[in-house]
Amino acid sequence: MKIKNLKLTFWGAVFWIIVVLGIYSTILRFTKGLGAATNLSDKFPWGLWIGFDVLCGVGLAAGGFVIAAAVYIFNLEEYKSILPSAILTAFLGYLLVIVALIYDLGKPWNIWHPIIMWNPESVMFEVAWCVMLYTTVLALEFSPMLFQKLRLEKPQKIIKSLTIPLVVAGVILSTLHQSSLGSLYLIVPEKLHPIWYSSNLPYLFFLSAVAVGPAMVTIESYLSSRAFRREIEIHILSRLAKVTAVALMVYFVLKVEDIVNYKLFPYIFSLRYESLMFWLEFAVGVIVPIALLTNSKIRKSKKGLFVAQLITVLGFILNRLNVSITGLESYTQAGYFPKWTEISVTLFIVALGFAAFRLIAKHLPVFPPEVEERKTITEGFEVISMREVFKEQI
Amino acid sequence: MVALFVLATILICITVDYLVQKAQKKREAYQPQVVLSTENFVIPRGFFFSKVHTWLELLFSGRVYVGVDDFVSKVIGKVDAIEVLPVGERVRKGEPIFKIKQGNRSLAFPSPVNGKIISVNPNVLESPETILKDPYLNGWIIMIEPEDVASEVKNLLIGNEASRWLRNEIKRFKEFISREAPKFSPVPEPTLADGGVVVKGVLQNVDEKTWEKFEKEFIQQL
Repeated sequence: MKIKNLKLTFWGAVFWIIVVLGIYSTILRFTKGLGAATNLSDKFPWGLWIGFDVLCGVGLAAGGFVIAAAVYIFNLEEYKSILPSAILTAFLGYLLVIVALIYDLGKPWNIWHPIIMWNPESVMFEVAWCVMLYTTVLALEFSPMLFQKLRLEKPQKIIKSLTIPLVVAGVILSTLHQSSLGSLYLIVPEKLHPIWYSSNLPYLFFLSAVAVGPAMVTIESYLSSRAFRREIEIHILSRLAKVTAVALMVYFVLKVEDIVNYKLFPYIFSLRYESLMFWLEFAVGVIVPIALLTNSKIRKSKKGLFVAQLITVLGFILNRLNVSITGLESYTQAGYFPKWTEISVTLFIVALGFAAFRLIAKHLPVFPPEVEERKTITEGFEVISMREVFKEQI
Repeated sequence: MVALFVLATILICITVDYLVQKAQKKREAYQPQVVLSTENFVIPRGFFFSKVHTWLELLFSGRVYVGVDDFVSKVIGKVDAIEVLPVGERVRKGEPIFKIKQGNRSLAFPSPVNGKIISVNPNVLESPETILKDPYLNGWIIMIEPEDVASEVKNLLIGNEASRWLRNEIKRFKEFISREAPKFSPVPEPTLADGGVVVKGVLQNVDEKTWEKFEKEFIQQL
């Protein structure tokens, strides 16, 4: 038996520090309330937890439905090998969004209310149901990996027979959910800065999610190839990058249409904080990724693709935070900046996501077997000494 | 400010990670590893070898990974580029499937089996020196789906048979270099060190004719 290496790595140490601080902040949040643990107020009730943990978390989990739709609806079988890891990322992403919601809700014990207290006219109602249903769909899509590990063949067959309905349900629910998060901000036209307010918000949110899904799958593949010493599926990922590029191009057209229709020129060309943030978001999240990902040389290079997709993800995060925080700052004048305990909870949730992915990918069949079995050749080799072969003098 | 703060935090994490990875790579480079040893030729016991110095790893799926053996990686010296046939191409045994380039010259490796190219290792195309540092693990070059695995493996070598063959090949190479050395080098030192040990990367110093002879005698024997 192998002796486990207990040496603490740099990121291992950082993880445990984040966990300790996160546990302290969690205790503070649930014993002393939101007032003690956050800088949120009645003026500014949604901060980092909603802006980053929920809005970005849901968007970054979009890889699951994009890849599932590609494989089962568009019949692009070549993406099948990356589907399990995309599903796992999405499943963990949604679970962590729920965890973040529990932190953010003033009365988290009422989180189940939308199940029986229906208010179909509310966007929040739609969001709540989409989260519940899509997390259930993701759990079912993820379950074959668990059944395979436990060698439970019957449940595995049942889930397999349900694959197509599950994927269709997942795609519908994701589409509804990604767009309804944008719809949420349609109810605050007087509060949200004109640069970001648009009746196209649901479409913009959906399109940016479609673009960032493949980007997140690429980053996840890159990081797991490093962590598990497996080959990265560059030929698949470089083709997938085209999805990001096309979705961003459509996004670009819609956003330009918004700028023209809503006559945003005076806002975007003024030297204000909002306009600078808009240009940063637009450059990092749309223009630069389109320029990089339409270049086939960059798409085919492992590092080039990783950097391009990382920029896409950063731009996406900027967009969600601009809509949920930057765009509301000038109206509310609340001067919101998260308290350190809020930041530590966010880091805690992200760290738990990384740890859970690592643990599950290590023990369940998340990656294709051809790559897995190569790990076994670290022993069983013979060494021929050069000196033994060439011992005689020339 | 929150958006900028989040962005800055992520960028700092990426920078720190880059530095940590760099430091780790440096540390790993100093750790002695048998597979990376420069003093010995390594033969994995579970790998098949073809007589043209390519290895094959038979996978669960029946497909094979193909790369060049430790002998080639030790004698060739530097590698500037690797050219590979495209994915999806059907290959016949004995036809060239990939080329290892060193400056203007190259070694064309014949396919050890009949089949179809399923995948190409992008890492070796991007950093060709991987085949020198780690020929058997990360240095695989292509994945082939053989037409008939059963008949193909009969012509390949494995275990003791492979190690006997490689010993013989190394001896043959030593004779080859002793024979050819005076033609491209007035003194034997650049190629043969004390005790008759072949200097690593000896082919880097040979002239075009010797290179071609090597290709003919060792790589294109099928």
